[in-house]
Amino acid sequence: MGAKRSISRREFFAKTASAVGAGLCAPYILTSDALGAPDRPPASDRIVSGHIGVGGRGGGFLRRDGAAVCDVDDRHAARAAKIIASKGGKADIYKDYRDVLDRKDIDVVFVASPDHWHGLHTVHACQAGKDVYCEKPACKTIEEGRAMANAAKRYGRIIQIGSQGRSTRAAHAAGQYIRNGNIGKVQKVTCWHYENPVGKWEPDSEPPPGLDWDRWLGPCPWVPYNRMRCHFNFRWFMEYGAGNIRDRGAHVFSNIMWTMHCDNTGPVSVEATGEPPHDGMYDCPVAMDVKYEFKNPDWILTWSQPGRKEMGAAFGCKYWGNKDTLIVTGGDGGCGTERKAKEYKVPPGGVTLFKSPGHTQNFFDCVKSRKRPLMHIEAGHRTATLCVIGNISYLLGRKLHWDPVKERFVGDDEANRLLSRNSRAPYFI
Amino acid sequence: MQSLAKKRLLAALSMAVVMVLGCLLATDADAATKEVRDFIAKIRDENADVRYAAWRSAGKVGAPAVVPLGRLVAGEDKGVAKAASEALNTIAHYASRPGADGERKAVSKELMKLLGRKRPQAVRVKALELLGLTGDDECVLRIARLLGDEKLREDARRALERIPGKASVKVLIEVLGKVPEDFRPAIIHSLGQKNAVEALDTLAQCAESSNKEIALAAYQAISRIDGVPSRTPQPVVLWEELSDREKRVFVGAYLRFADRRAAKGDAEIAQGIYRGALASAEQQHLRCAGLIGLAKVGSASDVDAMLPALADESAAVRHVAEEALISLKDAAVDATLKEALETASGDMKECISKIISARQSQ
Repeated sequence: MGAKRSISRREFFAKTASAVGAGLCAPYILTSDALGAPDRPPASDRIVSGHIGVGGRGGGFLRRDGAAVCDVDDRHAARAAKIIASKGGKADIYKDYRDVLDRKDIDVVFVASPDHWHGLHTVHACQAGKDVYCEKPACKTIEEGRAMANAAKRYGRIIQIGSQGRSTRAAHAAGQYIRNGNIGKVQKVTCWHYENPVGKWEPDSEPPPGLDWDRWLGPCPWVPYNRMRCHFNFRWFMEYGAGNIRDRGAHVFSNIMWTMHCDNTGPVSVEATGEPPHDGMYDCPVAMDVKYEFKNPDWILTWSQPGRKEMGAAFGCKYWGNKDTLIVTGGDGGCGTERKAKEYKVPPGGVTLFKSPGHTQNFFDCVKSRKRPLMHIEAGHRTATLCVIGNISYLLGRKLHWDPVKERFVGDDEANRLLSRNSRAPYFI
Repeated sequence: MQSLAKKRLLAALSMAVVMVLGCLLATDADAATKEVRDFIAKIRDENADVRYAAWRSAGKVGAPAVVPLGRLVAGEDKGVAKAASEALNTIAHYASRPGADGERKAVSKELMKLLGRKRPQAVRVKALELLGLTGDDECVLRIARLLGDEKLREDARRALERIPGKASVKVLIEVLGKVPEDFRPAIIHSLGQKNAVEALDTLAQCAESSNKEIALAAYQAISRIDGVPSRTPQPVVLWEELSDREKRVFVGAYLRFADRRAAKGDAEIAQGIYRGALASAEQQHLRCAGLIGLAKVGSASDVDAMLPALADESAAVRHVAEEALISLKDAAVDATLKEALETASGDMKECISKIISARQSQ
């Protein structure tokens, strides 16, 4: 790579590619882990995981074969390492996720960092040859969702997005019931969810010891630390979590997109209105109404905060067909549905949906089989797209037309400027 | 005498018209100023609901309110500062609606007034954030002046990254050699984000930097742009000098570049890179990338290199290899596979046979 010589453009790339290949062939030391030392099963039977973001949700993925935990908050990382130790494993602690990705013994990573980090962690993990279980929502912007899908495709990686509703019996039953025409042609799906919190004012302060605030912010604009911003409450800021539509919406919409067979497409318009808190630090709309129009087939999807509760559930959706309706409550790991769907048996020749053995198990199965998981990144990106464009319509205060093939707004320059990340240096994908 | 009287009458009439018009205009201006004053008073109200109602209606007040709002954004009263900031958002978004170009330009012009050195940092940051959404070529030079301000350069860069058009690309290219080295990777990144074809040759030059961060940033940026530099980069940084992490970045850029060239129908460049990746002995995901790439642009001549992947130690590579061989478009692949079938044995024979059947049923 070092010698200067004059070669054609095409020759350069071909020769450099060879050099890259040669460089890539430099021998790495195969560890006893990979070969299968006597006291451990061979690597092919064991999936070694790294865990990036081990605070709230991330703590739920910790397992015996977790070899590394990484968090910008030392307290989270220390606690996670102890949990793995209690399961009989041993995890090294890191603050920089790239150190986890450098590890050649790690096969998969669980990404449960705040939403604004999902894109970076996932794309970089793919570049490092890891399969990824990434928490929902898949992404914060359309651009990074597409980058994640491209990275998975480029490197042949398995990515499961953590919308575990798809792996529940209720969502499966409801999906099969509807796909087999039992409520007729679906004309609309209405979602309800309780409102976002209002919040209050807190003074800025120094971050607590052990929290790397700059790294927590990552690609987001710099602001002083404020305990209202993290950890859990990042959800109520448009810059980070962007409210329940992106938090729970990613769950509820995931099941709907699956049922409606829309994992590779999207709406053609979105119109959102909402009322944010009049005061306090949070800026996500407390009440919100979003309407999406889909074409071919034609149907409407709505999201309402608070909307109208059904079956006493805090959130969920209702399918309105031309023959009947069906309610699906929840959308995440706690889905429910009506008895008629639960008791429905698919007739011979009918449509059957994949029955998941459990969301995490499905991921591990696909890591071994290399088959596409139930909530693969393309589906995750398309689901998150609904959340993202809904919020953009709300922010801009107008109806927007969307091209689901080009993944751009039609005729709205300002909206299109919001498709991309505009990241703070050096946190680039 | 009569004509003099007529002239005097005409002059008097003209003056009267001018005075009436002047009064009307003054009335309009007064009304506008009053509207803004009343609006600002509501933004400053101690009642949060009053402030909220005002900020929601800010769009119609428009550009004249921008500078007065700017004065409140960095104020001590957080509720008022919030209302002012949200009002600015509303004004910017409303003025940026399709068909309102005149309003958008007027708002941008007012936002640029908030960039002055005497304004508080928070106000200037807010203005830059919104100029990223409303700005156009006319705003670029003013924003670019802030690239030399250490506290604001990052916000200025991000605004220029968002503003479409040739002017922002031109200015980013121009400053590349002038900004401190530690800031150059970020500028380079922005050029990649903007798909700045005009920057390719400059970026090729950056790829030759002895500063690894700059060189790697340049390769990444080139890989994001729809084009190929006319000037071949002659990298100075040796492969052996790169850490594993840096190698990942470099290879990732190359593969992204290959994908872009393949999508543009430039198979030759892409093939070279994919073949190199396939030859990677130790990194299974790179072998996967090579196979996946060759599935798109490979030919019958690649089959011999791809077949051993069917027996790879990595399940991922084996799976991808099978799919890739099924997907190869070159019609001559079938004949090559049949030849290979004749000399294969055991699992390999079974695998090739399965691939041939799958290709036939496509």
